[in-house]
Amino acid sequence: MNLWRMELARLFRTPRWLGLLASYLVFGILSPVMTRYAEALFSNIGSGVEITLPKPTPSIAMTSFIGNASQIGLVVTVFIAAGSLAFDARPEWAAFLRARASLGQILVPKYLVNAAAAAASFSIAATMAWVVTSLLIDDLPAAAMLVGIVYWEIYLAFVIGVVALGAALTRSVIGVAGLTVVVLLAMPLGAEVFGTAEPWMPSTLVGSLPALVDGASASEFLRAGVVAILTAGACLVAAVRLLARREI
Amino acid sequence: MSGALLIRTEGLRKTYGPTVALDDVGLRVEAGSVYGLVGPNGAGKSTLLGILGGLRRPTAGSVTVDAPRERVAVMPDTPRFEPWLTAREIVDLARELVAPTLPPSRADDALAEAGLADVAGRRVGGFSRGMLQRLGIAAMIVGEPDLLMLDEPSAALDPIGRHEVLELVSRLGRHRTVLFSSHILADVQRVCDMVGVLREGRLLYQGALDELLTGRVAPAYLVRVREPVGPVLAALRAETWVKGVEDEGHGELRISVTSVGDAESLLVGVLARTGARVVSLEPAAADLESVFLELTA
Repeated sequence: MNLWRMELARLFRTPRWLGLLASYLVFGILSPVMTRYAEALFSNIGSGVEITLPKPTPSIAMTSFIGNASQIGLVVTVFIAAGSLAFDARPEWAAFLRARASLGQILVPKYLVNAAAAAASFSIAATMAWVVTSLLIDDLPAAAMLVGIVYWEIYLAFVIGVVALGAALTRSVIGVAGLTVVVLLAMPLGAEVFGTAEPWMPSTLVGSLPALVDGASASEFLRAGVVAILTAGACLVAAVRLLARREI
Repeated sequence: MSGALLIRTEGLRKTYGPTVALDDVGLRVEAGSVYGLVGPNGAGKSTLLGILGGLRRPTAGSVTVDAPRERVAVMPDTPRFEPWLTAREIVDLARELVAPTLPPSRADDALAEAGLADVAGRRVGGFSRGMLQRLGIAAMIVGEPDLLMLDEPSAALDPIGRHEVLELVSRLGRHRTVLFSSHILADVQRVCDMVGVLREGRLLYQGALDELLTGRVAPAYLVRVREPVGPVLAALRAETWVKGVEDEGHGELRISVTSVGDAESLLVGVLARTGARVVSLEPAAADLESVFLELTA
């Protein structure tokens, strides 16, 4: 047993992997289905009121998928990552790890396994959304989808980095998750206030997939992607330094 | 014991805001000893062990632990582990982290030494408190450390669990240096050869347990006589070298004396004068509890 295998065991011996995958996959399947059949559904439950919805398009399906993934999926991702990264929440277990390994040794597997698991879950769900959308509505541009998935994977790596930093700032799992969610919610607001900063904000990556499907250029999100990667690394370094100052 | 110091602290002080947890502690732990750190709850024992284990930082003073970090093992008072890992995986993880050159089979050896061989493959989520304590010890010894530090290893265990853990600590102390804290004085007296008494962050005494027990408490004798004991009580209480006599029932008397010499010269004579029928007479051994109460009074 080593710290890498332990993190994999945390995911796969508990329902965590299922919760993580389901939080994205459900919307990967349902979003295109709902987009395609929303009008029919509403007309069946309506009581004489005519509801007119725009013609279903692949872009609407992807926007719907991302809208759900960026809410339910992200919250589940944050809580699962916080459960792993906030290891100081249980001082006895923290003492076991800290007395035997450096903080870098402890944090890196936790960060990478959680980031990889989140990225894999999102990628599977996005691929499923792609397939279902192609079957029910219309084809999606492959290059845009692939680039959009990569941008989202980068965004998730950034999110897990924020969770790691949160674990160094507060101890409880709920506290770490709450702090991360507040940061994630504040970023689009910050982008609104400081309009010129928006292309640089990692939160811009949330909308990358539907925008790319709609014909946006991949380069539009490059700055945000670079900032997200650098910020994730900075969060990890800061977390190691802050945790080293914390007593158990 | 070799006499060489494995742990030495000088003027160690730890404060949490206005609260002084440790004050001018000069701990001396000799290599090969089983050192018991005793004190009431809140005395600073866990803080001291945390500092020695590198989990907390002192506010002032110095700490010298003459062993590489990977050769020092620390166990908190209530070991907790990830419940979805098996006992073997936890001990093997400890081995991988502190002694990766040792073979994986070493984890099974450590579990067997801790009495957990039968449950090595079980997830630890359902382990009892005593099993978790023993698992914590297995995770300590798997890396073959030179120094083991255990915080209250027998606290909150049932009598059987306590006995098992103390036996284990006693066995470990034959080959390694062990420092353990406890507020259960009988446990310390049972397994330790060195003792430190901590109260309100100050080290009131440290040294060999035997010296502490023989030198700190007023000497006393236990005498058992046939009834009636009244005349014997009266005669003893009239003696100036007798500090006190307690009737413990069934003809047993506990006699505190000013000096061992006076008692050895005069006690038998007094008993003889009263015509008492003496069943037995022996010096009362001081126990750590009475010494502790005297020190902390």
